[in-house]
Amino acid sequence: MNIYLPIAEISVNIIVILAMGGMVGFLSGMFGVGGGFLMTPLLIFYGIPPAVAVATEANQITAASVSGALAHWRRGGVDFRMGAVLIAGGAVGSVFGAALFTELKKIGQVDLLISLAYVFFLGIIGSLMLWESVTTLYRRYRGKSSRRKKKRHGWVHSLPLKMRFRKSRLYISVLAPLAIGMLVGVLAAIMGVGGGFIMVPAMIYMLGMPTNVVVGTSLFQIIFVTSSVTFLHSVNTQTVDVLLAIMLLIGAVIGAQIGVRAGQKLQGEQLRALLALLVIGVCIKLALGLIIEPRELYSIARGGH
Amino acid sequence: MRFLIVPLTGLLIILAVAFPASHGSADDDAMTPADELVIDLAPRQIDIRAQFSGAEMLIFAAIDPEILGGSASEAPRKADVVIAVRGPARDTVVRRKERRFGIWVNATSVTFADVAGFYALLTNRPLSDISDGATGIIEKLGLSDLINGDETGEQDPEREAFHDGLIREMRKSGLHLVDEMGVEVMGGRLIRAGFTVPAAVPVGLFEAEVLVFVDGALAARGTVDLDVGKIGIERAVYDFAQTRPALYGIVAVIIALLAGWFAGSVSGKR
Repeated sequence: MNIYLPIAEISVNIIVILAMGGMVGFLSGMFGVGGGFLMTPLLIFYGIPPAVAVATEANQITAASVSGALAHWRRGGVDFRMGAVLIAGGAVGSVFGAALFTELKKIGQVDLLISLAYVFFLGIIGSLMLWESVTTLYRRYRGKSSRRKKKRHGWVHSLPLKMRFRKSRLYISVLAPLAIGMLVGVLAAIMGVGGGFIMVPAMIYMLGMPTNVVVGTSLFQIIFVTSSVTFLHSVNTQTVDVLLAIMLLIGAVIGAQIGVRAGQKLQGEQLRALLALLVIGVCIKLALGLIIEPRELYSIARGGH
Repeated sequence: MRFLIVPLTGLLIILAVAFPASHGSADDDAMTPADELVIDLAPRQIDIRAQFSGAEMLIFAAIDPEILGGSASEAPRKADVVIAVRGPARDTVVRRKERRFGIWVNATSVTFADVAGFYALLTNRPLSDISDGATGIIEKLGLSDLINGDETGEQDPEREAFHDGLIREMRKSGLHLVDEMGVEVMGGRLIRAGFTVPAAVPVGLFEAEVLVFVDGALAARGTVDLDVGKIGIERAVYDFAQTRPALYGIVAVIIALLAGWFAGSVSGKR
């Protein structure tokens, strides 16, 4: 069963799109990850133009993070003040990222930017995840309890412009969360990701935020940043395909429900290692696309008159 | 739709035979043949809706028996048919990947002006068999290539490579096709040709040019337009995104916010 996407201008199989949304939704429900970093490459592999994949996925993440943030807000897990600072940084970052995206699209290099960004970040995240789950599994095998190192975040505390964040029980400079928010904004614009995979570790290890407010606050920020990215890509490059976003969303909502339940029942650490392998696999596929000589060296882009 | 095609085709045949093209006087100029062909298309236009996954096109035209000559003593001459279908022209950038720092990146590019977004060349037998004159006329009419205007100036080999790359890419997505058995001349008089329009077809006005050659000389010609357009929700979404991009962005965000809120409140209640 096919449906023609009005912006991507290709005919896609509804079942495949729903299944992709469902699969990524399942993983995000199970592991609490956003899933944008898997969905965008999947869309590109399927044949959606990379620019459309990025912009549309940003739109879908908006919806996914609203429902996630709602759940955390009900539990009191959102630091709105910290969120506001992160959003301010994210707004600036998304404008910068979208401008870079638009300029590179004009000169035909946006696909390269997307691939490079993915290879770099998926490589790092996949390796870290794999390392962590393998060491955890190893420790469990050895019968030792996993020890958590208390991370130092000294230099962040020496920055000026300090502000009190009551919910996070922090008194730190606004510059650090502003910078984190900005980086996430840039990544959201060029990769079509929420950026939680960068933001969550940064909030825990750099800012020293308590873990119970980290995920909710990052989801709260992602809502606004991906909204901004959706808007900017709509204006600059007209690459947001609402029809595709809605289909992905339907699949993701269903998948996430199943994923949450599965996550409660299944053994976490082995699955985490599998997710890490999946991430590394996507990274390698994208990297090979850059390294191996392509069968067709020529590509075309139709413009105006 | 398929059940409509058969009676429609039948009707077309009847129409074509009952009302042959009007007669005209012979002309010395090979480019302006006497006969104007009556041509029809089925379907008459291509609507890109949600279910669109390409279209099968049929072209019909009637050959005036007069131009074939023939009498009680001698058999009528055989007609050869060449049909060129071209989609809307746009400037097209062709990029070539080269290895830079170990990875393959788009390095050099050539911009071709007015490249047809779709090109089909259909004949009843190999073009070279029809006649050299036919090939010349087709080239003169600018129908031999998907690029408008004369590229006959200096032939830069680099540019040729990009041109070949362009055609390969378009052929791969079904936007460039040459079918030397794509035309059937039924009973020597009714032209019937079919071709496939892929889902990735660009929207806009297409033009099909039908040329009839008798003894290698152009004897009749005619053109017919084909409108390819998005309709329904496809059109609404596309037009909205193109004409009011800021509002489109805001609506896209609102849809996502509402959908997320809905999904969150449904799952939260469980």
